[in-house]
Amino acid sequence: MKNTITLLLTTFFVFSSLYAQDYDVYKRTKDDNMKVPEIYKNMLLEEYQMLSRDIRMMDMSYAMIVPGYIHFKAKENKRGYQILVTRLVGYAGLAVYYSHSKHEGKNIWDYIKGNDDDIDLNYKYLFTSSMTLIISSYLYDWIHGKFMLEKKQENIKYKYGIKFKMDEVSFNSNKHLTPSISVSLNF
Amino acid sequence: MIKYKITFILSFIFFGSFAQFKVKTEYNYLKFINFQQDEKLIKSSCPNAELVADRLFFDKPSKLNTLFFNELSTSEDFAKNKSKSLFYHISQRVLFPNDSISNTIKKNFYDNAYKLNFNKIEVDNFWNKTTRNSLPKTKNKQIELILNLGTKIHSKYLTKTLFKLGSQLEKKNYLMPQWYKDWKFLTIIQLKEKKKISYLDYQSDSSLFNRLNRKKKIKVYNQAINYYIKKHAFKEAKRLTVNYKKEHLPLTRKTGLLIKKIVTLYHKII
Repeated sequence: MKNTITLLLTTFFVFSSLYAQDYDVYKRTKDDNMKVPEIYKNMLLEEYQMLSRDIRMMDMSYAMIVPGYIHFKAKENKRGYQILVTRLVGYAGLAVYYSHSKHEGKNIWDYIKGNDDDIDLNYKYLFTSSMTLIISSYLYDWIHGKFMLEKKQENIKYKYGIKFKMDEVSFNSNKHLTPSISVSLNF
Repeated sequence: MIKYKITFILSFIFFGSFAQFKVKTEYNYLKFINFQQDEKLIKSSCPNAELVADRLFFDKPSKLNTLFFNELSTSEDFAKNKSKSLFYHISQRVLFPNDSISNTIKKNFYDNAYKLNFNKIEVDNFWNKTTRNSLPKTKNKQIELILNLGTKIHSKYLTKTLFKLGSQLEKKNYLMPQWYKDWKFLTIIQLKEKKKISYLDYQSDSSLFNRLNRKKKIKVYNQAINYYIKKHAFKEAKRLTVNYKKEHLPLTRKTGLLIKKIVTLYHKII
C-alpha cells in the first residue's frame, strides 16, 4: 500500500513538472508579454508598476529565500529592510544555538523532537524566539505585503476612476458652449 | 490664407480650452480627496498634481490656477510634505495672487513654516516678500523670487522642482543671479540641501570660490572632485584637483588625494 502511494505521488510530480511552466495556479501564456496595455497619459511609471504587479504562489517561495520580498514588490522598501533585518537576527540566533549544541555534543534535532530535556533553558528560549522571528517575519511579509499592494492598487484605480468620470463631466458640460471672444482688463 | 487663419484660431481655442479643462479636473480631484483626508490616497495623488503644477509656472494668471495651487498646497499639507506645501503656497502667492485666498491661508502658511523650523522673522520675510504690492512685475522676475525663497527652505524634496524651474528660466536666456549659479553648482555636485545654507550668499555677486574661506573651499573642492571622478569626468576632476592642491592642504586631505588617484584609476578601468 505504502509503495503504491509513493509510486503514485512520484508519477504525479514527474508528470506535473514536465507539463507545468511553473507551479502557479493561474493560467498564463507567453503571449501575455506581447500585449501592450492602454495607459492613462498622466500615469507615472511607479503607478503602472503597482497595477501590473500581482502576488502569486511563486512569490511565496521567493519570500522564503529573500526576506521582505513581498514588501519590496509592493514598493514598501523601508518595511522590507526591517523584515530582512528581523529574519537575519532570527538566523543569527539559530546559528548561535547550533554552535552551542555542537560544542556540547548534542544533536539539534533531539530538542526539536522533544528527546532532549537536558538542554540549557536560555538556549531553549534562544531557539524558540529565533524560530518565532523567522516564521512570523515570513508570515508578516506575506500577509501584510499582499495587503499593502492591494491597498495601493485600490488607491490608483480609485484615483484614475474618479478622474475619468470628472473628465467626462467636464467634457459634456462644455458640449453646448460656443467659441467666443472676450476682453478683460486687469489692474 | 484666411482658411489657415481660421483653422489656427479654432485649434488654439480648442487646445486652450482642453488645457484648462485638464487643470480643472486635477483641481476638482484634489478638492475631492482633500475633503476625504485620506493620507495615503493624497500622498499617492500628489506626484500627478505636481506634474500639472510644473507646466503652470509660466502660465498666465487665472482664478483656476490660483485655486489649483492652493488646493495642491493643502494636499501636500495632508500628505505631511510641509516644505512642498509651503513652496506651493509661495508659488501661488507670487504667480497667481488672490487677496481672498491670502486671508484664508495665512495661518496654514505660518504653521507650515514654523514646523520647518523657521522663526517668526524669517516667516514674516517669506510672507511680506510675496504680498501683492511687493511682487516683481515680470514673469521671469517672479520665477526668480520663487527660486530665491524656494532655495531658502532648504528641503531635499524641493531640489528637483527648483532645478527644473531654474533650467526653464535659463532656457529663456534670462540672466541668472550669482546665488542661483552657486546653488546650481552645489546641487550638481550632490551637496546635501541642508549643508548648502552655509555656502550660499544671496547678496554677493562674486563667485563661490572667490567668496568662501579656505576651510569651506576645501570641502567644496573635495565634494566636486569626488563627484566628477564618479561620473567619469576626469578632465574636470583634474582641473579642480590642481586648484585644490593650491589650498595648502592638511595631511589628511593630502592622503585623501592619494585615495582619489586610486579611485580614478579604478573608474578608468571599469
